[in-house]
Amino acid sequence: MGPSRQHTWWVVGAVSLLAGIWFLSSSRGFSASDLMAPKEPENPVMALPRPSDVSGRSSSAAKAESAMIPSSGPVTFAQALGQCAPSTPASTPQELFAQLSQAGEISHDVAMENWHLRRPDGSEERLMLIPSDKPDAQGKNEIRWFTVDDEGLPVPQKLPWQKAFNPSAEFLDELKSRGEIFFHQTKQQIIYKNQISANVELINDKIQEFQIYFPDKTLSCRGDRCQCR
Amino acid sequence: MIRCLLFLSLTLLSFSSRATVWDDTNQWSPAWEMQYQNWVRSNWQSDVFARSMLPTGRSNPYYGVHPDCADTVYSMRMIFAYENSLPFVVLDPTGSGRKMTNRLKRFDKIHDQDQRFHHFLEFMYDALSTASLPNDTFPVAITPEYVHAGALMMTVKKNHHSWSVKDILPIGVPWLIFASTVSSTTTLQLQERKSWPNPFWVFEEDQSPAGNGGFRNFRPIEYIGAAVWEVPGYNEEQYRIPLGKWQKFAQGRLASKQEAPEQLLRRLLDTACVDARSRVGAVNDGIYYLQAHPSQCMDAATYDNFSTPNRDRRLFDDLAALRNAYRGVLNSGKGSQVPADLIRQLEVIFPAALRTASFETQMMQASPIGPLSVCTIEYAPGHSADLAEIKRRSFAGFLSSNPNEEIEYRWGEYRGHSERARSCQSWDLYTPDLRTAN
Repeated sequence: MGPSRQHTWWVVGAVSLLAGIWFLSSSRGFSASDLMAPKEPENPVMALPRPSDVSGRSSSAAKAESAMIPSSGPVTFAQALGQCAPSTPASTPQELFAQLSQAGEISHDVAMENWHLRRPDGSEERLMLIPSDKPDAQGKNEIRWFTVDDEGLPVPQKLPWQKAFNPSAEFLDELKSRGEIFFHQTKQQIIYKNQISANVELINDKIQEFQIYFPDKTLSCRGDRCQCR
Repeated sequence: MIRCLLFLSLTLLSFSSRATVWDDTNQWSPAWEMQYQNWVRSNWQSDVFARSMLPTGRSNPYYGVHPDCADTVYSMRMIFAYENSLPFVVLDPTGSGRKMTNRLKRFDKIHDQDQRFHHFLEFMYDALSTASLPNDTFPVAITPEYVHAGALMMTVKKNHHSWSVKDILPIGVPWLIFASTVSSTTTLQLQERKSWPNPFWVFEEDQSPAGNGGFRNFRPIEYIGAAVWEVPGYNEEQYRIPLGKWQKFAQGRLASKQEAPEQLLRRLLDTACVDARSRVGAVNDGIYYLQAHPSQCMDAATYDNFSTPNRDRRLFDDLAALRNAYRGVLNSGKGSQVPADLIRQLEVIFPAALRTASFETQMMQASPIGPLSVCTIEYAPGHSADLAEIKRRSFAGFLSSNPNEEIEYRWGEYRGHSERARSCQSWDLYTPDLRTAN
């Protein structure tokens, strides 16, 4: 190999190295905070095990997350309940919700609902049922349908509007039957008697996060982190 | 050879530089938040999607986008982030727990930056909604520190609407920019109002934090995905204020100066007039559809697209607010501070303002257009009405939100239901509640 060729390969190597470093740094994520769409769900409560998410969370993601949660405030469910509603003894959130329901529910609405489906070919689809934003929808729902890209994010798919708006139970079943449901999220709004109301999020029928608004205090929990304020 | 390699490297570099929708070379900070407020105050206009050119002479990259109400609210933040190389982050509303950011890779193949952003906007519109706003925003105290240009307001689920706050006027009233039926289907122009939405509508059936109604701010990006109660500034105060006092409380908190009686009445008169004028386009949408499908009943989705119950309620609410303000001025003895010609115009619109709205509605006769007419609109060729007549029809329940009706019925010249409307199914007809105008 002559000197000029050696020189050429040095240049090739150097330029490629620089381009590679630049490329990696530009696609690595936000430097100041953990902003880039992560490969694993960020929230440990939300991140229920799913067929596609079997690996553990990276320690850097966990560190970034713990940094964003204020350290002061959260206590256990029992402590927070004792502060917010001492006359309502309940050992678990489920028990508390059951007691509140027994005392009387005025309304119980599903504010939004998501299903994740595994198709027979292994691909993922998602369905989202939300109150329609059309100005005169008067509380009627609409269903949105998504495939999922390689970043794990939704890709909107078209549905006939006549079917998507105020969808029939048959149409929802038809969409849900396209695959095996492995994730089901609901966000519910409940109004109880005695000026008590609540927001509850369930994933696969388990309570993940909730707020119960008593007349002068609010009991808030995500997982086992709670507060009464 | 070296030239080839350099070309290859530069090509690689140019591909890698397109691995985001836009590059976020800046980071959000208190100074950028302040700039965001200033930008919204001066640049967030109702023609943001309608003007083909920007004031700078550059072509408008947002021209032609059709946002709905929540899309409009998100757009306010997205466009500022895009124009200022700041990150934009929201939670994936489909429940993955991931974040959707300006670093999405799916638009990499679109080389033109503005085109890429245009596609990004449309993707966000398809994914986000009023239902996702609670993920990305948080309720705030009603103070100037939190309720300012760039904030947002939303209703509870029942009425499902949201507004972007362009500014808070010195008198403590919000200047709102929002999308409604007309702007999302037929025009690119957004709507605006300088008045309070009716708190009874904003919090209808659920004035609790569970309903997510009221004023909210965008979350700092490090709190996207966090529990809402852990976001700094989270506040439930607005849910504990009695609805009958809510507006007065909020305005008192946000005002830096008192609103004079004349200013109050002219502002509310203007708001009601804007409502009436903007109803023309919304009703005509339905009329054109009827003309195109003369012998066909509408299905639920089409009906919903062309019916106007929320719009009709807003018109009624704003007329009721004007009536209440006028009564307040008269009862407080401040009528002398209002020019006599304005009082005379208001007397035509509200001929028995000191009596009940029900009494006034029963005694009010059809009001021909005359020298004291305010806000005369031609809603169809040869068909005009002033605000007094529109108020009479609105309070009497003559205005019809039913898109199966012909134009004379929609505008209350005739009282429905017409034969055509009776022969088709209808849903959710709006009827005014006169008690709220007392």
